Amino acid sequence: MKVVIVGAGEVGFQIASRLSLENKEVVVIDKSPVALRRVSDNIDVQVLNGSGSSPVVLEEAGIKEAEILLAVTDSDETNLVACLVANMVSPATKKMARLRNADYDKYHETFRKYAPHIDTVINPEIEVIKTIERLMNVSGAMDIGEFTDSRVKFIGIHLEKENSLTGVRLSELAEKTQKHSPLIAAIIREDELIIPRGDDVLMPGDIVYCIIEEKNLPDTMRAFNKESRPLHRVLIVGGGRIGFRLATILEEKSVLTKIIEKNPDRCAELAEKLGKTVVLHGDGSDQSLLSEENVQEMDVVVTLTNEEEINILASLLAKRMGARKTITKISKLGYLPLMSTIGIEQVVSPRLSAINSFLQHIRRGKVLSAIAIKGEQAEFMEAAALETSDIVGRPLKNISFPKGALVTSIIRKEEVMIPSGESVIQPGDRVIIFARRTAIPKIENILSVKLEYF
Amino acid sequence: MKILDFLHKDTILVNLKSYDKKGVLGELAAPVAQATGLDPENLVGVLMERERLGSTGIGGGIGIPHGKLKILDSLTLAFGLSRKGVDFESMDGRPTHIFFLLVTPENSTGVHLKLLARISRLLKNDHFKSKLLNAEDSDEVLRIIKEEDEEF
Repeated sequence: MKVVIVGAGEVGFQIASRLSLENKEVVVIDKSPVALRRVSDNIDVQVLNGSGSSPVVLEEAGIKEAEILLAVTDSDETNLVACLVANMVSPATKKMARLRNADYDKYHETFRKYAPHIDTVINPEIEVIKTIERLMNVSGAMDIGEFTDSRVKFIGIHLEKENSLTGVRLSELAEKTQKHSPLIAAIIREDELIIPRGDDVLMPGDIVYCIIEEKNLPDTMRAFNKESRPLHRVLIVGGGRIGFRLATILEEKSVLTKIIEKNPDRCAELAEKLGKTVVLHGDGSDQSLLSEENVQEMDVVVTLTNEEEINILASLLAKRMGARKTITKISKLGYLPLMSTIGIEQVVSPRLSAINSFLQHIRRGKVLSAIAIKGEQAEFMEAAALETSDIVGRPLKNISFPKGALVTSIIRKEEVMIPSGESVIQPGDRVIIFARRTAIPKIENILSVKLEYF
Repeated sequence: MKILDFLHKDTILVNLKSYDKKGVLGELAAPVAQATGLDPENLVGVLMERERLGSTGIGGGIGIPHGKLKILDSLTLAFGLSRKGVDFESMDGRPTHIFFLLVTPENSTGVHLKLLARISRLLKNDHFKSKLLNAEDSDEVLRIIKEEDEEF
C-alpha cells in the first residue's frame, strides 16, 4: 500500500513512522527541509521537498499509484488544495485531510460529496472536546473513549493504594463487585502493558482498561470506588479555539465557567463572543491569580494553552491548590509517557486523536474505529465482521488468534455481548478487538474477506 | 460456462507496466471502462475498496480483482499479464503475474461466483498457467483459454 503524506509535522511524522513499521510504502512531502530531515533521519520512508498543493510535486511523489493521500500540514488551505489537486490528478486515491478551522465544521460532508471529494475530514479539536466532555462526565476515569456505537465505551481507571480492589485476583473480581465487574482488556503497570488472565492480581498504581456498556457505567465506577460528582464549576486556562469551543458547550449546560487568557485582545474577543463565561486576563500558571479565582472550588481545571509547559504547570498547581480534577492538553507525544509519573492524570492530545482517526482508514478489513492507547503499544479496533472472513461462523476458541489479542465485545443489533470461547460471531456483527501492536497484522488477516467475497 | 463468453480481445493486456496495485488496476480498468461505458476512476475506486477488505492476490502469481457495480449491464472480464510481476499484496507475499479482472452488475445472481470459481480452479493447473505466462499477444491468450473452454 502506498501512502502520500503532505506535511511533516508531528501528525505526519507519527503516522509515517507507524506506517513504515507496518511496511507500507510512504512518501512524505513538506516545504521545510528541516522537518523532512527529522523524518528521513528517524524513519525509513521517502521524503520530497516541495509544496504538497503542487500538482507537479504530487505527481513526482507518485500520487497516481497512491492508495491514500493524507493532508496534515498546519494550514487548512494547503490541505484543501492538496486534496483538490489530488482529486484532479488521481481521483481514485482516497483523500484524508485535517481541517481545524471551525468555520469548516458544517461542510465536512459537502467536501466529501463534491469536489475535492475528501473521504475523511478530521478536526482533531472536535475529538478533543468530546474527550474532555467524557472525562468531565465520568470523573473517576483516567481515559475514556467510545466506539461508533456510543453505547460501548472503554475506560481507563487508576487504582490507588487505598482502593478496595487492589490485591484482588481478577477471577474473584465478579464476587467482590457484585457482578458489576466489566471485562478487563489490559492493565498498565509501571508503563508495561499487560493483557491479564484470571490469576493476575490488581496492584496499586495500576491503570485498568475495561470495556463497558454505557448503561453499566455508573455501577462499574461504583465498583471501583469512583463516585461521580455533578459538574458545577470549571476553570479553563487558555482561550484558544479549543478553550472557546469548550466554554460554549459548558455555557449551554449552565456550568459556571471561567477562562484565563494571556492575550488581552483575545480576552476582549472572547468576552464579546461568550455569554455567561467569566473571561480573565492573566497567566494560568500564576499562583496568586489561581487562588484569587478560588481554584480550590473548581470541579475541573482544563489547561489548553499552546504551551505544554504552562499546561503542565497550571494543572499541577491547580491540583495542589485543591482543584478536584485537572485535564491537560499535551501536544508533544513524547511527553505522554511522563505524565502519570509527575502526577498529571487526565491528558488530551489533539495530535493523538488525529492519528487515531486516520489509522482506522489504513487498516485492512472493514475497520470502523481504531484507538491507540498507552503510547501506541496497543489498540482497540472496532470492525465489521464480514462474510467469508475467518472471524465468522465458528466458535472463537477455534480461531487462531495471535498472542496479545482479545475479542472484547460482540455487538449484534441491540445486544452487546462479552464473548466466551464458545461464542460464534455472525456476518454483520460488529466486534471490538483489543490487540498489541505486534498482533495487529494477524488480526487484519483474520478480518480480511476471502476471494469469493464480492 | 465458457470464459470466452465474457472475455474479449479488447480487454486483454499482455504487457502490464505498473508495479503496484493501484497502477495495475488502472491499466486493467481502462479497456473495461471503454467497453462498458463505466467511468474508469470510479471502477478503480470500487476495485480498490474491495481490495481493502482483503486482497484478491491469491498467491501463486495470480490476482483476481473483482467488484460489483450498479450501472453495469452485464458481467465483464479482463485479462492482464505482467512480465516483471506486481506487488499485489498477495497472500504468499510473492509478485503477481496473471490477472483476471471481473466486474458484475449489482443484482447478479450467482453467475459471477461460478465464473470466479471456474477461473480460480483453472489457474490451479500449472500447465495452463505456464502457457498463459508465456503468451506473446492477446490472440494467443484467447487461443489458450479456448482450448480449456472446449474441454469444459
